[in-house]
Amino acid sequence: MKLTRRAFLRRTSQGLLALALGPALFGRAQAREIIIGHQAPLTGAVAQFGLWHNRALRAAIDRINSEGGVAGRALILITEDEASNPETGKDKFRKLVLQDGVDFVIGSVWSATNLATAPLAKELKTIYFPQGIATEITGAAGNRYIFKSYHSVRAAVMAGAKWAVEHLGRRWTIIASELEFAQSQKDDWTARLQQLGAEIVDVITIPFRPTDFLPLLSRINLERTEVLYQAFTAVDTIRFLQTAFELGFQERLKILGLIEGIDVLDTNDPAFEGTYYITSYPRRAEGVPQELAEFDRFYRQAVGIDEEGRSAQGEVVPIADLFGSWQALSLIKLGIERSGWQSKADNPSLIQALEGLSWTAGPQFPQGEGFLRAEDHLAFHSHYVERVEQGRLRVLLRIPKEASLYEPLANYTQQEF
Amino acid sequence: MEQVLFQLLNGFVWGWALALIALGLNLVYGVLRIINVAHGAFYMLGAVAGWAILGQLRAISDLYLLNFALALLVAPLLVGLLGMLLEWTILRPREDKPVLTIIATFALLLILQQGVQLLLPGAQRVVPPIAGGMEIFGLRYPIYRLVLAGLSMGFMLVLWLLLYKTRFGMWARAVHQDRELALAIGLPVPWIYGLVFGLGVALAAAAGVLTAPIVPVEASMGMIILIEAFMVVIVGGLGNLPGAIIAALLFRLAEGFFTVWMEPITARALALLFMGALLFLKPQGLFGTHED
Repeated sequence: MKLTRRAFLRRTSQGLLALALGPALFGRAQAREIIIGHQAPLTGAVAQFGLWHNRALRAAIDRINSEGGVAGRALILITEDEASNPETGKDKFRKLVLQDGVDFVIGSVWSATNLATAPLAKELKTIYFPQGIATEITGAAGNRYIFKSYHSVRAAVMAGAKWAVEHLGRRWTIIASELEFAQSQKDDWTARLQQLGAEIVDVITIPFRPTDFLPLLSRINLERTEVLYQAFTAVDTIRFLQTAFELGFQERLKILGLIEGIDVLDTNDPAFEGTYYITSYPRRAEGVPQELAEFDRFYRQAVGIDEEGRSAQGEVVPIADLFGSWQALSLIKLGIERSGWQSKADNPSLIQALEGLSWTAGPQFPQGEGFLRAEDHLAFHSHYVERVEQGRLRVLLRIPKEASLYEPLANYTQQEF
Repeated sequence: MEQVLFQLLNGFVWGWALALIALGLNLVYGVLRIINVAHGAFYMLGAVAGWAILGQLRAISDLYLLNFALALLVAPLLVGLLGMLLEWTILRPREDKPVLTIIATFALLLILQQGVQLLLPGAQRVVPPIAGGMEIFGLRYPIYRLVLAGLSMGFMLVLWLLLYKTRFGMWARAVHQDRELALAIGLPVPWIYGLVFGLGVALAAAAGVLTAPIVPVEASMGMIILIEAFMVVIVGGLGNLPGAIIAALLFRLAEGFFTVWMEPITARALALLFMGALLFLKPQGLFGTHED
């Protein structure tokens, strides 16, 4: 092709334009936003939780951005549906990191997804905040890139077991779903109850979503059992309680569980009456201690939760579960500010800043003071015991965070980055 | 011993509910030769419709028992009409291609299930129309479950009367035996197809309303029961109505029986194995004939 004057001018002008714009584009990429990925279960077994965690993250991000962002950089959220499925969860984590270029990932509440994703977080050197509570997540299954912004099953068991044995009874039957977080509860309760000298009458594992609870519950030894400990996801908890009610269990023994099983359920139902829960955040504002009331009001308002724990549309909001996501963002912010993190290349210094980090109550930490244990990256915070009275959850007592301490199951600080 | 009897009783109750679902599936296969994979979705639709109707009626009347009875009649009717509409629009053009009807009903299953998932997130609860329990074999057994078994039998009796004591039933049986001959003697075969399909899914919907008080009402509730219904229909003999009832009872009794001694998960596996063994011994099904 012959090079004409016109063609020459066109080409050189294009080249000059590219040279002029290049640094501008590049420069913008340097001061870009911090991208938070949300591996959310928006469909499937725990969809109700995923939707609320997503809303809480949006609320937290809006709040942080309105106050000037993190180290002058705005946060943006990219959400992927993991469908309460570990395989999908892994794919979506990969997509978030490799395709969308997210800096941090807030994980699903589905423990199986967390366990499947943990090795990927290390492989892709991306800090991951799983929201499931199976104990292994901060044990052998975790690694230095995994941070738990909210309790594990074992921490909740440690918090409540002593009180439960002293006040509810010494002879226990444990009935648990086959799912990871429920099996964690089964194992941790069994071990803790044995340490406390309580008697375990029976331990029963139930398939996920059984067609009928009745034949399974009729096996429970009502003569010997004083406390029936239940570990199920919401769909199964409501059926368990309903069937137990039909069989008259509520009158004959004490039923205890973790708040995770009923966090999206309306307790205004005779089947819930008198049942006990170990919780990490009071559903109703009335139960929040005086010194946290101000932060609680702020937190509820930001996420759109009223004093009874409901949304403006009247749905029950899993408030105890949500502060895990809220707190994860607060930890990211605090960690970045402490470590001077610029990009994922600085992840090691951010991780070191988070290891052993402690905080005091405030709008960022409405649940109260707490700390991230350096060894296993697990957050410790206070707990509550709540009981359903006249259809509403009422706080019986607050348990200080020290009660939930246990021997760390791993020491990630020894691991390479 | 009491445990065994208690488990058998519960297996017996569930067997009837399962049989009602399986009967609808079997009826549709027997007459239309369509394997209706969407059957579980119609069961779910029945439960959801029942729940929705009860919600509407609550504002009008306080007589819950009456409301429930009304829901039990109206929900299957609505689902049956929807079934007829779907048969007419979606299945009829593919009637002579069995593979296509399987794919079409599978698509229906997904559409209905996901559609309900969109409108109804989470599980809903239906209060049993009859509260309370009675002491049976040393344990308290909810009375409603016994009523459920009775009502299921009632629906089956109605179906039997319909098939064996009415002209429509005679026609349906005629189409089942020989479609060409039925056409040749001037029976309105397309109408019979539509009505039988509607009737089949209405049975599933009736089972949906009946079981709504003992299971959570949610979009995916039809999946597990669908698999069980298929198993029961195959073990009972395809197209054979009494076979389905007996297979349903056997399966549920077996599961209840095993639950007495072992972990629920193992019991279920053993019950499935038991059904597999039955099929191994009688490959045509308990009462199946060679033509099926």
